[in-house]
This record gives sequence, C-alpha cells and structure tokens, in this order.
Amino acid sequence: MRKATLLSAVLFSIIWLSACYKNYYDIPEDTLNQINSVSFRKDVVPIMTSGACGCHNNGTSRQIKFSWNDTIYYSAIQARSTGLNDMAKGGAHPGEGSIFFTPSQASIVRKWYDQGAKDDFVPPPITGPVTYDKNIVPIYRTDCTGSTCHGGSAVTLDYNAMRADSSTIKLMMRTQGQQGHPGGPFSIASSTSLTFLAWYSQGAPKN
Amino acid sequence: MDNYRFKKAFTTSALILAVIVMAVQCTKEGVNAPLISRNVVNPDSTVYASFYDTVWIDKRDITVDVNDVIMTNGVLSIINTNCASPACHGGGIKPRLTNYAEIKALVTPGNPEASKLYQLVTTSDVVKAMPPVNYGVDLSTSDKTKIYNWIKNGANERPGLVDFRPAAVSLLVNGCGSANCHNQATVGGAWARRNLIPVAPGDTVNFTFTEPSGAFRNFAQLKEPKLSQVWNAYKDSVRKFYADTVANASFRPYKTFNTPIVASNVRGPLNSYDDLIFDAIYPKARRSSGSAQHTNASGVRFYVFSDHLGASTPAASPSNARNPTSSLISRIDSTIVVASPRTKAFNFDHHGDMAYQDGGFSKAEIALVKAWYFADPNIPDIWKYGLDGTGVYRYRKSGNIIRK
Repeated sequence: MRKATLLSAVLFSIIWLSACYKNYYDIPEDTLNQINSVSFRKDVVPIMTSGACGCHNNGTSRQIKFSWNDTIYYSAIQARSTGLNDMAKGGAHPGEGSIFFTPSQASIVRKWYDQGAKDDFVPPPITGPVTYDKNIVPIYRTDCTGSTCHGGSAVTLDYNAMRADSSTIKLMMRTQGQQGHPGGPFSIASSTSLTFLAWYSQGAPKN
Repeated sequence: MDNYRFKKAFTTSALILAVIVMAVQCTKEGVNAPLISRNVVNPDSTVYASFYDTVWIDKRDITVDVNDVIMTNGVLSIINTNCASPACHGGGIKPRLTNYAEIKALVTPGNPEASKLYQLVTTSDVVKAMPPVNYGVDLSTSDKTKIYNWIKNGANERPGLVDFRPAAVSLLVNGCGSANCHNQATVGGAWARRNLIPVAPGDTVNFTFTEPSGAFRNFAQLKEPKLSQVWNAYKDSVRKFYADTVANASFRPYKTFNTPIVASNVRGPLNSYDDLIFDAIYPKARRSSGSAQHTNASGVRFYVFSDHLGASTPAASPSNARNPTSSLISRIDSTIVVASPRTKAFNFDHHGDMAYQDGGFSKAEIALVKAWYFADPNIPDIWKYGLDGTGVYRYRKSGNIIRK
C-alpha cells in the first residue's frame, strides 16, 4: 500500500513538473504567424495615408491616390507593395526625389513585404453582376495607373486590351500578382482579384 | 534489511529523477516559443498618441469646427478593444482596465520599459504575454507604439505640447518638406538664387518628372555642401536683416544675378524644426518675393519686405502695407484668417489652400498642427496673438479672435 502511494506521488510529481515549461506552449503555426504578422490595415495603411505620403491623400490629380475624403483605397496601396519595399530598402521615390520613410516606417514596410504584402482583411465573395464600366474601371484607375505605371510609362489598358489579354490577367489575378505581370511581380488585393475573376467568368461584359 | 535498502534506494532515485525532470522541464521551451516576436524595435516617436480618441484643441472656435478636433485611436480604445472585454479586464479579472486611473496604475510615466502595461503587450515570453498568446490576438505595431509614446510623454489624461510637437513637426517636415515641394534642396529656386553665394550648374542635381499626360517638367535641387551653405546663410541673413543689423548680415537677400540655372520653384523650405520656427516668425509672404520690395538709403534693392510684421507706411513700397499676409497655419487651416500684426488688417489670400484638398492633411492633422503651433513657446506670442494681444488669427465662421 505504502509502495503504491509512493509510486503515485512520484508519478504525480513528474506529471505536475512537466507543466513547468519556461514557455510551455507549443504554439500552433497559424497562431504564431498571426502574432508575428505586420497588420496591413493597422500598421502599413496609417503610414501611407499621412505624413510624407500626404500628396497621395486628397492631393492634386498628379499623384496616385491612396485616399480621398476619408475613403482609403486599400488595394491601391497594396498594389504598390514592390515599389514601397524598394523605397523602404533605400530606393528612390518613383515620382520625385527626396521622399523617404523613417527607419521605423521602413522596418514595418519591409517586414510586411517579406511576409507577402498581404491585406489582413478578408473580403466577402463577389455576388451579382460585374461589369467593365462599373467595377473594373474604378479598380484600374486606383490600382493600375500612375506616372510609372499604366497610363504613364506603361501601356494604357482599356476594355478591348483587357479582353484580349484575359489569360495573362487571369493568371495575375489567380496568383495575386506574383505571375504574369509584364512589369514584374506585385501584390494584388483579394477584392481586386475576386472582382476581375468574377468579371471574366461572367463573359467580361462592358456594362 | 534488504527491503529497507530497496525502499531507500527507490526513494532516492525517485527524488533524483524528480529534480532532473524539474531542471529540464522548467527551462524547456515550447517548440515555437522562441520564434514569437512581439517587441517593437525603435518605436517611432513621431506617432501621435493620446489617452482618449477625441481631443478638442485649446484654441478652437466658439462652436467646435471641423479643424478643431484631433481624432485618433487612443490608448483607452486600444485597451478596451484588446484587453477590457467583459470576460477579461473589463469584467471580473484583475486588474480592471476600464478608465484612466486603472490603466495609469500599470504605468510608470516617462518610462515605458519600466511600465507593466508596456512590458505585457510587448514581451515575447509566452507565459507572461498579454493578450494571452493562445488567443491568437496581438496589438499592432502602431498600437504598441502609441502606448509607448503616451507613457514616454508622461501618460497624461489630456495631451499637451510634448504629445503634439513630434507628430506635428513630422507631418510638416516629412509631408510638406518632401519631394520638390517645400524642400531645402529647392533653395536653388528663384528667390534664393538672389544672393551673394554663387550657384554653379555642378552644384545642382536635375531630375525630370513625367506628368500623366506625358509632358515633362524639369527640376533642379541643390546638392550638399552647397545646399546647407546657401540655405543656412540665407536664414542667418534674414534673421539679421529683421533684427536691424543689416550691416552685419552674412549675406543679404538681394539680387546678384538674373539667369536661372534650371527650372525650379519659389516655395519656402520646411525641412526641419528650425525651418518651421523660421517660417512662423518670418513668414515667407513677408520675406520672399520674385521682385525687389525694399530699397535702402544706399539704393540697394532687397527682395524682402522691410518689415516682416507688415508696416503700414512706406510710400516707396505701397504693397508693403496691403500685402496679403499668409502664414503656415492660415495656409493649412481654411477656417481661420490671418492679419498683418502691425496693420491688424485680416486678409483672405491663400488661406487654407495647402489644406485638405491640396496638401493632403486630414482634418485631424490640421487640428494637431494647430494645437502644436499655439502651444509651442518657441513661436513668439506676436505670431499667435498679435503685437498687443489684439489677435492675428480669426475664425471665419464666428469671427472669434484667437487670444492668449
């Protein structure tokens, strides 16, 4: 009886002590990534909608717009992830010179880009009709145009061009911009890719 | 006897085993634990932080107008969202974190690193971390930075100059002072070129901006060391000029050559705190112009007005009396107008034209800059409240004059 009690006590002690980890969680991969990730909406967007990026917010018509009258164009910011990362690594601002991130801002942008330049907002599925005039053109204007982008130094895309290049654009949308883009990989917002893919699946109607 | 020895040996072995297990397990980490990273490296001191989301600035209009309210996600909201749900520190779990007194009890004002609140939200120790790691929720870098700055600046319930200044200066210096806008590098522009320090083509760097229409615009910016030489000498000269020590001016802002090297602009640089204070005390509207505004007794023409406070008399330069006075604040806030301190005549030129629709400042950012401007003792009262306190700023809607 005493032997059994002693054995139980030892076994209990071992089990009890095994809970005494310094960092005892084996953190699930998803949770770890969630905690270590840079928030696009909370950390990156505030940088792009203030301070040195002021010209892109409510500015004159020259600049690519990141926001207008308190409406933030998240996809337009996300689409410039490659350029933003280049700047964060010390590269020049695409428009004019002498614009730099602070060290802290650059660190956030680089980390976000290295994590895949993702948006932490998951858009709802696209329902209802999607047309070129109503849905595609506004995205094209905010996400794709600019002095060093389409409509500037890159080719202008219109309805016919987007229909003709459907296989390329669909590949771009399916890979969130990582494949197919003639100007190199970049980051496409989920809402943008879902809209384009829905438009093509509906026969790419004009209006 | 044998039985006794066996029991003794067994007990000793069990104890040794228990100690070994304790030693191993108590220093063992979870497989992923070392990979967690919740700290903030070099928190950005220019991120504005306040305890509450909404702050009405002191020098607001009688009825609070759009540019009088600083809006942000304050520390209380950050804590409410992440820590103070009814099931956690907003309910029965201690400590409660639902108001200023409760939250401040976890803070050492001025020392974020020594503050329990900041330690818990940034530690990578999985056992101590808050919110608990297994919740899969973590404060954003932006939120952690706000908590850091709020504590660092004194953890006050109401923000003051120490909270306003870093953020406001950053907005102006990094926003307005960037690119080819209000950049020191553009001191090679029309007005600054009228000096005694020659600028040669090799002193500038040229670049081309392509408009969406395909048109090209050429710009030039001064390079170091010429940049600092010209701009610092110009500021020094202006300060001495208006201090009535013209004879001692290091170089005078009068014309020495006519031919522009390349296209450039005439905007006043706003690249540093000193630039901002300089522009507040000697507004560009008074000190800079494309044509001669003042001729002294020796016939030397100056490209600044003789009186930066807006003299009302000089017959040789009538425009000196009626010249619209615009200022840094009046150009970003369309709700106020500014007067020439000496004439006390309010004017409406350029007011607000660098604001929401052009310069990109949001309403909250305009309020923040205004809060800093009137709180900063380095900007003299004369440029806040006038020569004799009668006011230089007036709200358009109410007619209310901003007074000390």
